[in-house]
Amino acid sequence: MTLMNLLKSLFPIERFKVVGTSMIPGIGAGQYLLVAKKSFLFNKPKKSDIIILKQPINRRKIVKRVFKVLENKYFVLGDNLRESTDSRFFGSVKQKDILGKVLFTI
Amino acid sequence: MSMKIISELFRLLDRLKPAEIVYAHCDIPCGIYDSKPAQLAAETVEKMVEKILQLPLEGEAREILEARNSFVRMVKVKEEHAEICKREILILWTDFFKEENLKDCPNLHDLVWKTTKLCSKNKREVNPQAAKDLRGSVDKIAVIFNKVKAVSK
Repeated sequence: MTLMNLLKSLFPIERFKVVGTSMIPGIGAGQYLLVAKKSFLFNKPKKSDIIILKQPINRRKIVKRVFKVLENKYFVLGDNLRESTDSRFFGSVKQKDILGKVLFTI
Repeated sequence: MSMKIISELFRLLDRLKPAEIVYAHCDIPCGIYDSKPAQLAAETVEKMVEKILQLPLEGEAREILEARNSFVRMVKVKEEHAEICKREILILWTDFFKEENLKDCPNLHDLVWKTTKLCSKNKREVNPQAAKDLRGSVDKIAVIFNKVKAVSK
């Protein structure tokens, strides 16, 4: 791990850029997200939280909204339900695949 | 600092050190039908009606101002989701359900008609009974939808 990567992993906030339209109207393509990476260390994700997670099938980082909290699993949906690959397709996600909570959209 | 300046700062920062990409797109072709969007919208309408009715009608000037602000925002969300609900129900009706489904669900046309009427009623009124009826109607359509979907799989 390089020094930069180490510093990055310790920093609690991370910047992401959105590709795609599955979260419109709230979050559009090209917008920036400020994400709290340690947000779920002590608290569990709640319904309506916008989160960054690893897609269980292709492991890509994706942004979705928590629709339902199940027992230790989370059913996530895109806000733009017509154009979103989400838990309807890949099922509920485990907490270990959730990387952080979106704090701000810019 | 205005949002425009913050946005420009982020663009500048992105040139210096690009932000990590996070995907928000669709991996599979569209044309997927689901009753959940309509159910979610109906649930939101019901919640907004409940919240509107809980707003204080009197109090200090500051409280009244805040209540008015909340009222406008809640009505806006109620309007939007009643419209989403109507659109989603009509998509299922026109695109998903086929003529042969009427054999098993002969009341489908009537149910859809009444549900979309309830969407309009909920836009016009702050009426807990209408919101409850809308949710019930949408749930009935969802049951039919799931039955048809299960058979066609």
